[in-house]
Amino acid sequence: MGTNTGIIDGLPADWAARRGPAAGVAHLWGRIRLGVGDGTIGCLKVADGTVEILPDREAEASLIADSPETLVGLLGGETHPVVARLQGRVSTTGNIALVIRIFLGLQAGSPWSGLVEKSQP
Amino acid sequence: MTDTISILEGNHFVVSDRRGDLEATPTVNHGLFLNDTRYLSRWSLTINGEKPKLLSVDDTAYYRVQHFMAIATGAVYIDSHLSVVRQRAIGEGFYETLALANHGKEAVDLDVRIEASADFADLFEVKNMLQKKGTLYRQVEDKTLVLGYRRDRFRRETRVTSSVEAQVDETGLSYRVRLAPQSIWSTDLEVVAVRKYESATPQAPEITKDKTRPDLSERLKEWMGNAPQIHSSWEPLEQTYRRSLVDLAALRFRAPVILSAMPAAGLPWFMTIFGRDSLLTSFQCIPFLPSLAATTLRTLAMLQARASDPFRDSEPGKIPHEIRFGEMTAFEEAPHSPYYGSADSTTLFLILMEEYERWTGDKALVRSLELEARAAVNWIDKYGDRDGDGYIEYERRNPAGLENQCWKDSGDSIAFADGSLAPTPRATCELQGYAYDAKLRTARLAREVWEDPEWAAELESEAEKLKTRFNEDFWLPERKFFALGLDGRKRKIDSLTSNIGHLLWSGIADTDKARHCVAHLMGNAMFSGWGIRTMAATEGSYNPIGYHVGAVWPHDTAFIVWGLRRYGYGQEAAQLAFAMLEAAELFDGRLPETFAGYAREITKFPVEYPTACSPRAWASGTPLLLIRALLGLEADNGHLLVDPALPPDIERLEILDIPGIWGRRDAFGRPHATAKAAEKMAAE
Repeated sequence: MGTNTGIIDGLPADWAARRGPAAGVAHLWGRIRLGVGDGTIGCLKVADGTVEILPDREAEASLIADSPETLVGLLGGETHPVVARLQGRVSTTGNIALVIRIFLGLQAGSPWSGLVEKSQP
Repeated sequence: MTDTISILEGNHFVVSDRRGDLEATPTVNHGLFLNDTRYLSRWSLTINGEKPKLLSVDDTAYYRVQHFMAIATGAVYIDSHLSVVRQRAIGEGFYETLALANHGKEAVDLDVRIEASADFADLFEVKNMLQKKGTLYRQVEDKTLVLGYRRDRFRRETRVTSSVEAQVDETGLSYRVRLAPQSIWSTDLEVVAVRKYESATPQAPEITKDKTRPDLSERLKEWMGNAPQIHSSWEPLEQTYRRSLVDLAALRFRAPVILSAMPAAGLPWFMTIFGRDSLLTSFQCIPFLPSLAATTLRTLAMLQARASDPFRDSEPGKIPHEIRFGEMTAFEEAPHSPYYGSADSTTLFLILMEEYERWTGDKALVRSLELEARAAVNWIDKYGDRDGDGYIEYERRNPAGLENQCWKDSGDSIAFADGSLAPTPRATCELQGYAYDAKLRTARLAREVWEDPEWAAELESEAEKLKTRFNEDFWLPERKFFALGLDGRKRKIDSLTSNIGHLLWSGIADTDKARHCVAHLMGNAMFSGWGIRTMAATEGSYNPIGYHVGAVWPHDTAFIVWGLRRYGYGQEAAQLAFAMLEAAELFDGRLPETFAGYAREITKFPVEYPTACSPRAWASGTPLLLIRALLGLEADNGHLLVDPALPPDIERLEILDIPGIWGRRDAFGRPHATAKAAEKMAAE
């Protein structure tokens, strides 16, 4: 598996480099390894209300998405983490509670918000 | 006698007729269900084109059933030399052994046929008779019958295999059997439910001799062994207690986003996590099975809302109402991922947290939940109180969501005394009681666990102010009870309901007002003789078979009993608890979700409610809370307090090995002499 933070059609080239506040993950700390298919994107670092993607692989949990759009939708809060899991678009390992808490928290907004269309009806 | 047989284990369950056949129709809810999806809707056995005649069913274990049948030759009497036994056990689907025995002296030729099909209906589609949007398929793959469903990436399959070679076609399996005299033929059938995206190759669990998953009977033994033992001079209590423990074991729910086993709400419609149900059931079980509370708290904390979402009725800090795992949730045609449409789960979450810590001393868990507790309190003040009047009120934001977001969540439950419905937003009275109790309990945790005495003092002050205002704003001086609630125009909803009993449990009622409420609760309009009616017989909407407007809900009565103990009404609590335990005896130890509110003087047995869930977790937990109330069990500063108040018919009650911060302790009770004397005087 390699690291893939390349350009994806329809998404800004800097999407993986974005960082900043995310109010819904205030008081949460943790790292989640992110992947798309067989490739690793990096590691989402959450530190008390701020988020960024690091090139590291060490993490308490991992989340693998079926496509970059799914992953960015989750990071931006447009895709609901439980819905994505029920549809088979993501799989998770490790600390499931941390994954759910963080991605439910990103529903309140993050540096990736607005990059993909909201999935909710 | 029920006409369906259910076996279950957490989120897996099979509902069949008494022969073991599954014949789902729009009005018959048979099926193999897993994670809110029906994986098998038809499973029908015929022998020589005939359905065997039922002799008997052995369903004494919740995860396994045996159907004893015969091929009938007579019109009236079953005069047969051919017996049929189906043994079925729940697994990742189910395992079934079909055995045919020829007791005669002649060989027989038999055409054995099992018809199978699957509609992969979401449970919401089953309830509401909705159509599928994806594609059903069926095929035979290497002697395996595959029934499948596909919608985009969402795939579900049911795979059927037989240990004895069968003719497999797309509608079922056939066998031509020549059965010699005095011989037995059998085959093992495996029906595996596959969530396709999660596992391309299903991993079937090991099958033991009795075709049960190997860990289920062991797990049940361990579960029962960990619970306290009960001995009573009134034997039905022991049977009811045991049945409750077994049902609570059966309802332990596991799912991909659930951290460990926690109580599902009930069979068949509520085999999932409901915040309110899991919290109240865990509360009922604390002196007996405290581990349920720990899992409930951790899981609900994980799913606590962090954002506002009108579709899901969520706001930051709100504890979930219901989570589902079926197709409609997956495609956001239903908001249950999770749905947050309850106005009491958040306060009950705080109440359970404090109760759990006080009994177990598990400060580590409570320390880890400080953030969630603060978010929950913030929800009460900022979002629960929608208009800033100091009370929690609810109004759905999703038009398809629940109109009533209190425990009485049917559409007609919140009505004035004249029967007219109260407009929303609705601030029902028990919500305010829970908020009061939650703040006081959270204050203790803030002081003793989170070491924030300033916050503790704030919470206590807010609780006291709430109590003062509530006793003025909700009291109906002319009728001398608390209003059911305030409606959208801040009018008092003036009907007499069981909700006032929850005000005793929470402690928000002033002592002088509580006295009047107790008189109402124990009067003929509220007390049916078996339990407390959800609505008094004097009110305009009263209906003895109305779900929340007259029927008796055992868990409701149990919390009222506990409230009576809190306010010092031991004798009334004992009378009410014993009446409900007598009802339990008449339901073979298993209290249903609800039963009719007919007066006991006109019927010798409680009348069943037609569509009640059974088992239902908080009904299964009811005997446990009643037993706690009878013995007056309370945890205080690391000690187990015992203050019995028994009815005269229970001359002795003991519980051995009650778990808690103290390790294990026993409790013993017998009726006080004063209670006996009062009973004697009443009889005279």
